[in-house]
Amino acid sequence: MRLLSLSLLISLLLCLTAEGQVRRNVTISGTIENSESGEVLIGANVIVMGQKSIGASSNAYGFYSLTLPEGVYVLRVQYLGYKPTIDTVRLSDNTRKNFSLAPEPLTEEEVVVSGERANANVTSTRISANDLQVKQLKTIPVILGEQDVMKTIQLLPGIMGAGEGSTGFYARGGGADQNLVLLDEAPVYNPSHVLGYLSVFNSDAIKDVTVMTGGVPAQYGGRLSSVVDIRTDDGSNKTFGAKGGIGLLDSRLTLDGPIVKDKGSFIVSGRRTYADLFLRLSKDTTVNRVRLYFYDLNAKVNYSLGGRDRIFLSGYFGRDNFSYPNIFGFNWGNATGTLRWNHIFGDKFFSNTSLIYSDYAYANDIGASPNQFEITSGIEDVNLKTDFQYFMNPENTLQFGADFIYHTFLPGTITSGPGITLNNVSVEKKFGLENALYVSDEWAVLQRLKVTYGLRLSSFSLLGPGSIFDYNSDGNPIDTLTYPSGKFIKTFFSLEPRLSAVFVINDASSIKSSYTRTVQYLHLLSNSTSTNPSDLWVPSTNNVPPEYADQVDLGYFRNFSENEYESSLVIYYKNMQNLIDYKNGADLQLNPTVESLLLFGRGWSYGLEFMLKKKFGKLTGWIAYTLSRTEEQFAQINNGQPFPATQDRTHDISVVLMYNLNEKWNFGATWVYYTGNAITFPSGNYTIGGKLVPYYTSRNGYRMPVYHRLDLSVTWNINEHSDLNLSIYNAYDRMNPYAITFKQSPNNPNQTEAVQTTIFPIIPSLTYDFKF
Amino acid sequence: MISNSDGDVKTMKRDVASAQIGRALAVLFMALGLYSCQKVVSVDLNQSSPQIVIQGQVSDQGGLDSVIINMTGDYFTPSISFPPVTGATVVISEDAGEVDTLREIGSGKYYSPNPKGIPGTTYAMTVLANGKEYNAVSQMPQRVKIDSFYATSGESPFGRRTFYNFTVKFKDPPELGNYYRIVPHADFIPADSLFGDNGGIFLYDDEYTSGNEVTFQFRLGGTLSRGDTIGVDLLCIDHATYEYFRTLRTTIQTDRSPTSLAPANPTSNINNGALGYFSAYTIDSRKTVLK
Repeated sequence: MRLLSLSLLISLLLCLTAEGQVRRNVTISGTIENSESGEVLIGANVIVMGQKSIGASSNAYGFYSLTLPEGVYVLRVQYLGYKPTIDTVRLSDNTRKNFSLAPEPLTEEEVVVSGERANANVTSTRISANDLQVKQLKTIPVILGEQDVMKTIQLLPGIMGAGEGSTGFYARGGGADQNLVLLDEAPVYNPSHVLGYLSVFNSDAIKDVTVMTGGVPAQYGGRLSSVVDIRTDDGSNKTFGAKGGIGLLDSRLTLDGPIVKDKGSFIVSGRRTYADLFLRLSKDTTVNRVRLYFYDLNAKVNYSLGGRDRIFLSGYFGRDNFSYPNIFGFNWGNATGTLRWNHIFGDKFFSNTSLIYSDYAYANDIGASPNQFEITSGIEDVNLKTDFQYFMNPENTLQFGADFIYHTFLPGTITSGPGITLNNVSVEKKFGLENALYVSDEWAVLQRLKVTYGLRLSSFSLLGPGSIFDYNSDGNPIDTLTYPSGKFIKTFFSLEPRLSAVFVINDASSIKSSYTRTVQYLHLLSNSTSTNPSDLWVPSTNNVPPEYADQVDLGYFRNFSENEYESSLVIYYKNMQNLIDYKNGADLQLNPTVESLLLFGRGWSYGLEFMLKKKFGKLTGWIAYTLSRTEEQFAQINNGQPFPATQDRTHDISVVLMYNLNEKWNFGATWVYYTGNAITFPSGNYTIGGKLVPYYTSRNGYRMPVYHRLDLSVTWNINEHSDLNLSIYNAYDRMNPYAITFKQSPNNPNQTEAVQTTIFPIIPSLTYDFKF
Repeated sequence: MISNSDGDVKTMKRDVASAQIGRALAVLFMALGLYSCQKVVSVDLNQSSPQIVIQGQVSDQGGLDSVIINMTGDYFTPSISFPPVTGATVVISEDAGEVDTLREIGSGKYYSPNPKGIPGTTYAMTVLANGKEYNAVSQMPQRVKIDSFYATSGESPFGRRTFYNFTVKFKDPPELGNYYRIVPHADFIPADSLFGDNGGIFLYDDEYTSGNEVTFQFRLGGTLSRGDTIGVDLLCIDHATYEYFRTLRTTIQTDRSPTSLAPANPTSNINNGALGYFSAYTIDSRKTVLK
């Protein structure tokens, strides 16, 4: 608080010296929305003409607040993909003013007043953050006709896909479980369908995605390496609409419209795959009972109560189901619900309070009745959070809030049919309370220097009822302590400082830097380096410490041609502690003493990220290049020597091009290239009882071959209501290795050979989209 | 009863995570008309400095205690035999104090005519080879006898092919912590083979079924036909041996997915970095003729 009052004092002083006398400050505030649908716009800029360093941008709920000395100002409100609005305001008292912007294609060159085009990427303190407006990325080629934000973000610098076709990703050398994926503020614990090939996010329902791999502000916490903040559409509060698509894999339908015109709206969006519908046509009585589908449903309503309050209720429900009659079946899915209340106190004070529910459940059936048994696991969250934004004065915007999450961990139960005599095994539930308080100030120290500094105080408590094991050095339990319901078994506290700063060299260039500490109290136990539906989320306990990461980054940002091109060069170093690996042959499922199988070590990642982005014109897109190194060190692995992490990729290049030839035809292309993952291959052989056994010498001592791939797409806008998209995945049919396995040669049983498997050769797909 | 071809809940759990997901994917790709393709590639593997491999055992049925010692070989070099370690000093002692020095009979093969091992006794093995000393201990568990062993024939739900289902029944002792290795063998499989080339590694532990009558089922590869005699050995092993074979099973898995965790050497109970194991076990055997 002392720092805060100091900043207040300094800014006051600055104000005094700058003006020479004190003019009364007044505030203009309101919302910025799409004029056609009434949807609020996130991150739209309000610029005071002639005073470029002064401005505001709308928050996640479209609210802005700008405090200025009394006077007459020309305000320009702009947002990428929308016609800017210019308005003259006379400010003598606090004023409420909403702005509506009309959408326009990026190709229609903005009416550019020289130097007034947005250069927020240069002037803001945000470093290592990217915003994607999903609907502007429609021409990016896709696999299986399905646009997927989780794959699009893998094309950004510092973010690497977890494997061919996978929606999982690694951010700056972090693990696949170190990403906080939020859907309307609700954490999504397993954001993938079809075993990872598609994400649970239906692009038709998504408005805006923000991805942060560095400089993460204090309001976010709980994961080490990145934040993916996904906001869904609100639906139009003016007219009813329907849109959808028919693809190779699934069909989608979205309906939206006003509940009360200009006051409230709804949106419902769903999709379902239909591969299994074809299987049902089969005459084979086994095949036609095979189940193989997933579906998603997003629904949201919002309503404005007067000018100061707005309520949102949104939900997501999705499920995957695979089964083969009498042999196995498994299904899993996420359900989330968010109730949010926006309230504006006066003109400078915005608040949002959310009640959030998130549930992930997995079930696996094996065998036929009555000899079947079922294994289930999952995690459930109830979360209350409140965030305040105080637009204190032109120099300071304060954010603070609190976050309380009650976690229920379901590590697994096995239930058997009457035909099986299994001792009942149930790994007991665990309960946890994850709390955080944070405060953050965005402070314009000088005209050229802006700092966002904040602090997050987080805690995690493991709650009773529950039993805690003490393990000896061999990992055998030697003592069990049982705690009653509600008892705090173990509590961790962490202070997470967050700091980012920008020094603006001129309108087109700046230097930025940040330091963040992040803490992760939840850990994903996985028998895979990627993610699987059966992976288990487990809490920190007396045997499992929280994971920590400290990261610094430093970047140079430079725009060219009146901000038509944006470029950045960022270097980072990240140090991670208490990373988890497993003892040899660890059996993670249904194991009450699973904690004894974990190994804890450290990891570090450093690299250089370059990005060149073109935002306007017929041709848009970006080039991203990442040069990095990620290593890990565990006392019990690799003789305690550091080894490259699986996700250590020296080079990673993504090129994204979108070309808008005319109203009828759009083209898209992406090209990716990266160094193969680090992998463990055998270095020798021996026999045990006549069986050939590979001999391993070093962890991740080998490399998969280089991966590269070109995807192409063409979109034909048949008319204003429909378009047809042809995408070609892996256009030059590169046989990228999905796996390399070692097998006995069929010709000579004493000879071993390496066999490479490719899963996605060239794959064309066709999607028809409509909109009314 | 447990009705699974592998007979082992833990194996089934693993199947869920690997084979069954693979199967589901195969169905999915078929449904989508996609395919995957495989080709033989050349991979440059480092030459590793050879490591010692020790296989030592003591059985309650007496006969011969044996320790086999050799070195690892080059991965891609076709090899039937690996370089034996000759001239080693191999000693097996029991906790009662009796010390037995083994004699090298074949190159790298060390034997001792020995009275029967006694259940409950802890045996220690010391190997002095190439200037290094390797130690291991193993406790011989109490013997569990096979109650019955028989084969039934059936049809595979996938391949529509006749297969034989083998069933071993035995009574698990009431206390928790019993570990078993089930070793099938047939007349056409060399008798000295530890698990039989077609048998795989069958293991059982009583974590979920302590004190129960255990029905363990397994299948064998190869071509079996009526009249063949199939034998089975039920080995009661200690926890360290169980862990060795359990992790060995993971190590030799060939159908690894690229996202599988990094493979590693099996967890050995021998110190000083030696590969292999030392096991004191009891054994009970039965035979059945296929009908």
